[in-house]
Amino acid sequence: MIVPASMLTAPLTLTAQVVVVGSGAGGALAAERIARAGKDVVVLEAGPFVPAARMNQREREMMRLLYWEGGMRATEDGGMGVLHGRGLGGSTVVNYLDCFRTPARVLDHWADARGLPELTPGKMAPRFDRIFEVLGVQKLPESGLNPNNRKLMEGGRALGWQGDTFHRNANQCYGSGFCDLGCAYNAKQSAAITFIPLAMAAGARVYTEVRVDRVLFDAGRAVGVSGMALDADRKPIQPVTVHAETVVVSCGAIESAHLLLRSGTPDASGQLGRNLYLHPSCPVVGHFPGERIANYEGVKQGYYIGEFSGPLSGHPDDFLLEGIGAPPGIAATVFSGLGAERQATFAHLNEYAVVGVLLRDLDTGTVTSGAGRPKITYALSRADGLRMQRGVLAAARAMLAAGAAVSLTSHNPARILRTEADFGRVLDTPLDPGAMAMFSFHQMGTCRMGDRRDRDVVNPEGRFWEVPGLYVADSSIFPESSGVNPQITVYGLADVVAEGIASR
Amino acid sequence: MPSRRQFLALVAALPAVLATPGSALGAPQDEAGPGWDESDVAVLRGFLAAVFGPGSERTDAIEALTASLSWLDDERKPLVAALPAIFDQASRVLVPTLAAFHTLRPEEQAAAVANWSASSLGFRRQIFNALRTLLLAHAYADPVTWEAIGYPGPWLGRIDLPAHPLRFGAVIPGTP
Ligand SMILES: Cc1cc2nc3c(=O)[nH]c(=O)nc-3n(C[C@H](O)[C@H](O)[C@H](O)COP(=O)(O)OP(=O)(O)OC[C@H]3O[C@@H](n4cnc5c(N)ncnc54)[C@H](O)[C@@H]3O)c2cc1C
Repeated sequence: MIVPASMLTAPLTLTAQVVVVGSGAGGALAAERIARAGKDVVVLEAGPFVPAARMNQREREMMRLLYWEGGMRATEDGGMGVLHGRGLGGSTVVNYLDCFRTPARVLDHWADARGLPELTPGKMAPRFDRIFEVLGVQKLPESGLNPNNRKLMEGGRALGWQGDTFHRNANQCYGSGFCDLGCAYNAKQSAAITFIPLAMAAGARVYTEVRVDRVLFDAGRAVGVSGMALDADRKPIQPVTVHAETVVVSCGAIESAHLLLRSGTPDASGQLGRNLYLHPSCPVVGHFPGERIANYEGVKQGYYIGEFSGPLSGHPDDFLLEGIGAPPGIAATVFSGLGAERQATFAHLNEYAVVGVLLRDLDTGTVTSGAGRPKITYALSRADGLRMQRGVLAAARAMLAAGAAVSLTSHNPARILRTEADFGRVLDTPLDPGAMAMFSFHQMGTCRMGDRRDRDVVNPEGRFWEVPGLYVADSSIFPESSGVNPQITVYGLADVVAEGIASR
Repeated sequence: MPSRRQFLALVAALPAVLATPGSALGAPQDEAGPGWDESDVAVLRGFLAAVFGPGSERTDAIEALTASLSWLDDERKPLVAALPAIFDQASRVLVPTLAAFHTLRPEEQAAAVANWSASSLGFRRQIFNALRTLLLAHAYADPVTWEAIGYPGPWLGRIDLPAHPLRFGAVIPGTP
């Protein structure tokens, strides 16, 4: 049973063996795995359960329903929009379905450098096998590429760059292209319709519209959580308390750090909230006059170029190029210019192919807890910024090689690149926040996992070093950024943490 | 309109104000707005006209933005609500017009916005970007703007396709 706490008319107090806070990739898998071991599990999720029938494919309603702060969250300096899903299933409900098993190079490094032998590729492989099976992951055939992603493939191939179609957790996808506004067809196999029902079948009780505000401690150990039931307008209506001997925090890298910081969680490493990775992502456009690309339609993310990826190819620049489309409200923010001139540019929306440069950030930001909200402090370091510039140029090169008349960057004003002779225009651009449109779809690392209590927030089992009974199972335990789209890594790491809890 | 002191306080709080480039938008219609007065709304109108271009008055971007501010965290809401006033007053100082933005004629407003847009000062670029992003995102989420860009809108209602049965559906159908 899913209980929407917005219906509560009195305070709610529950007792369970394990309370899982957050129901995204990490929380949903943790709940399923632990419930399957016979433990009594309660899941608390801040957002609502939004079934396919309520997904109306309109930006205004869906952004507000399915994202934190209606999609308007950003870094403190405004330099980067930070998109984080909110609702049963978390960001897996709004994501683009790309599924990468964590590359062996990343796992080997994490295992060695962080003292995490459970994370070696060999040990993780069976976990990923099961996750792929539950999520119904399949490789997209080339015939499934939309014109936008096809352009990226053609450009990459013309340049001799390695690339491939994505594996996706899609079941009979129609290619409507509204993935980021939730799937109206149940094609996307989000956590809300996979691991959550499996957890419920194993006995887990799921409460939506409960925002957890505090982890409760007694004599140094975690003993439960408290928070508020929210009405449909997100106003607090009734207190909710869950007493449990084990608390699993799975709110995503921003909200987990925020919850744990505001709860005053003991952290001898001093790293709680630090080491925030955002995988900065920057759109680059190719204009194909007279062709209908309609980047917002079809499988939005179908193809990637891995040539410059550290984890996939060992390349030092370490970025991925991925086809990406956007509904018009979001797309409009990417194109610079003013007035009639801007309108004239944007009127060609259907002729634009868009490539996202996904940078594996090596430098980090922080999450701190302001009055009632997480503060995200993050600035692209010079070294990361220079690699981003090279990513932008690689994306432009791919678009031009695919036959684009021009490539446009997301700078203000856009740099217009017709040939490689124009590339200096990008290299001359300062790297300050706001110089170009940037987004984060992947937040990682604020409670990093490792084998040293003076360096790492949680131990190799995902438990807070200083606090018995308190675990983290989500993207915040990444020791570093994954360098590839992270949902499968989140599921995989949550499986490691949950297995430990289940066996105790 | 904020007093000079409030204005300075708001400028000091700029980093938080600017944390709202907004990739998009929600709009609960039953929420109280951010308390914008007529001059704030005039600033938003003038800014939108300059950025959006012809036809800006046909979109409900400002009403939708007003409504969607309620989805921001409580602490950030008043700071974002102050953006038009900050832009208005800062234009007086930073753009060589010596008049508040909302009192300018449309051509002057367009010139003032262009002046902001071209500024190399980080904080000016950030204020400009925040307003531009919020307003354009709301404008293009409005169906009246779609025809001009050839966006056909949602499939629902246009292309009739059934949702698939859930693969692990035994539990979900029993939910309230
Ligand atoms: C638009 C978008 C596209 C993406 N595309 C891809 C992709 O194609 N491939 C890929 O691999 N990854 C993608 N990602 C990222 C991926 O979805 C996330 O990395 C992954 O879901 C993170 O899992 P998580 O468990 O850490 O957090 P989430 O999945 O975000 O879940 C956290 C949950 O906790 C809830 N929560 C937070 N705070 C509280 C609280 N205080 N009380 C109660 N509940 C709380 C949240 O509402 C949320 O539901 C995308 C993300 C976005 C936003």
